[in-house]
Amino acid sequence: MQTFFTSLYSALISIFQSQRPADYGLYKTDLFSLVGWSTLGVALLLVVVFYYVFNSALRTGMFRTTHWVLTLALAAGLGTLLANTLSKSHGAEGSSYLGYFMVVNLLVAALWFLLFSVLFKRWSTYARTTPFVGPF
Amino acid sequence: MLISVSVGPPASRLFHCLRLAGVLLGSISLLSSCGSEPADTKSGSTGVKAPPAAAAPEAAPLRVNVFLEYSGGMKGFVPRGGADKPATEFQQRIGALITETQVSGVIADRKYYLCENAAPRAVPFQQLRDVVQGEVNQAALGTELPQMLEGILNMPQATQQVSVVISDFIYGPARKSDFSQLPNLIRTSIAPVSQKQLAVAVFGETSRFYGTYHPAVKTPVAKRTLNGEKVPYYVWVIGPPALVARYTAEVFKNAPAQQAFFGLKTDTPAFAPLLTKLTDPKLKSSGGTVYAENNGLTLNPSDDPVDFSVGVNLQELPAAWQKPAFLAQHMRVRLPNGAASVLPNSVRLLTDDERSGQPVLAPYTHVMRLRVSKLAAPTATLSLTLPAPETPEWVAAWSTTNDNTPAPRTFGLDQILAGVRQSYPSPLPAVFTVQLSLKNDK
Repeated sequence: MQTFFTSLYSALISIFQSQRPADYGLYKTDLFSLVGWSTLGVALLLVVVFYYVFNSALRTGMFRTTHWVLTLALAAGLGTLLANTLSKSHGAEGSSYLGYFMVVNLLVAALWFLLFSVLFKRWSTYARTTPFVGPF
Repeated sequence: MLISVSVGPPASRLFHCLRLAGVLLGSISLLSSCGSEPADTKSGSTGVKAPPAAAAPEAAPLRVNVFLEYSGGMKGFVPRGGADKPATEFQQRIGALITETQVSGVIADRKYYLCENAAPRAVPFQQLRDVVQGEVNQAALGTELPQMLEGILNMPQATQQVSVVISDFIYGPARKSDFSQLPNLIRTSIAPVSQKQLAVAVFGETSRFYGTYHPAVKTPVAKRTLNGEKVPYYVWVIGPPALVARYTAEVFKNAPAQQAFFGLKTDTPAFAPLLTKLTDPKLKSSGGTVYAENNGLTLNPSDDPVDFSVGVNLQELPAAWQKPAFLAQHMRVRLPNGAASVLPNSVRLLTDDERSGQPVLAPYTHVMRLRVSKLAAPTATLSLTLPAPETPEWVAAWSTTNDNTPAPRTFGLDQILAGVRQSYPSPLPAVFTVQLSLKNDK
């Protein structure tokens, strides 16, 4: 999985910046997998909360696409925040590379959220068709 | 029926939105507190660790034996002074050296000897100091230089300890034919230097001389009485290379300018590339990609040459060799399957402020900037080395073939030191070499 996260993030960041920073070793050994797993977990948690807590266990009425988009935005924002705080707390230096890492993680978090939504929405009681019907 | 819940009045909708916002805020604070928890636990993981050899092993204890030739020819360096007579250069320099040797904390054990004939005689420190300040009357006839050196190196444990030999190094053999073999005689007398590859450091200075001067060349006069003319004397430091380096750097700090080193090697100094946690922008890497990985560097010089700084601890080098100008002139970088160099004017001493202010710089005394402009192989080893300089030029200037007239020259000094030089392979072994493994970032 570390190799997967490293290839995923370094490939995506290299779209913006091909030059790797002096502390790239830290990204490679620690940050990509740490941030990758955390982002994955946060996206999954938000999907579970949205579909199974607020729209199954509770009957909050927050099943509309607007609510879903807001939660997606939350996942994306948390992705950015995670990339920043985890990197800084592990000794990464402020750099343009870190900035692009945050941008990329915003997209990655949103993608995870979308993916898990599609996978898990069918078992939700009230939000089975949020944000769209199907594919299964 | 069920769906009607969501189509509530605006107030209820607002309530839902607020609840959602509350959930968002709660999870944000939860996550950010998780994120800050493991701070600094792995902060060292980016720095390249020094290779195991550089992790300073427990240094061998420094045991020092000081030998002062005390013959008629040396007596003039140590006149009995007084308040109205300033001490000679010899008395100042050697007095300071033996005092530092006696009190220095880096020396585990020290002993003192007078060389009056072939076998050195152990004396207490006070007696040696009395001799240096001129408080002794009788002086022995002395012994010939090769015999004196042989006697010193034949002392028990002499090859594991540092021997400091203080003498005028004037060679006056009883058999005149011995002159023809001077380098070979010296080389034979210091045979353990060849066999064990000991190091020899030579320091030369002229000092005022009051008394009977015995030149090597006995015509037209066999001896003269000098009254303050300057003649040379020398301090030789002989022993295992790393110990000689330590004694020279940490005890004989105030050494005279004329220095020559043979076979000097230091323990592998602490060395590492400096990439992160630097506040000085001039130390940061520039050009192509370079980052630390697996105790080495991964870099990509294909588009732009990669420049980066390295720190190295050279505190065990002789003071003259620690000067940035000397290092810039002599340090060599080798990179098989690639091209690397030390950038001009990039060697410099770290200031105390830099070392104390930036923990990443603390282990090093010097920084220099390396440029890797080509790396053809997937992996390569960069080595940074200080080749040993050959016999310095002052030796020729201080040598003479006729010392009958006193001058700041010594009879056959070049031949004596040629005997020392021949104890080592050619070229001389490097003073130190540090290595760094490189990997191409494809």
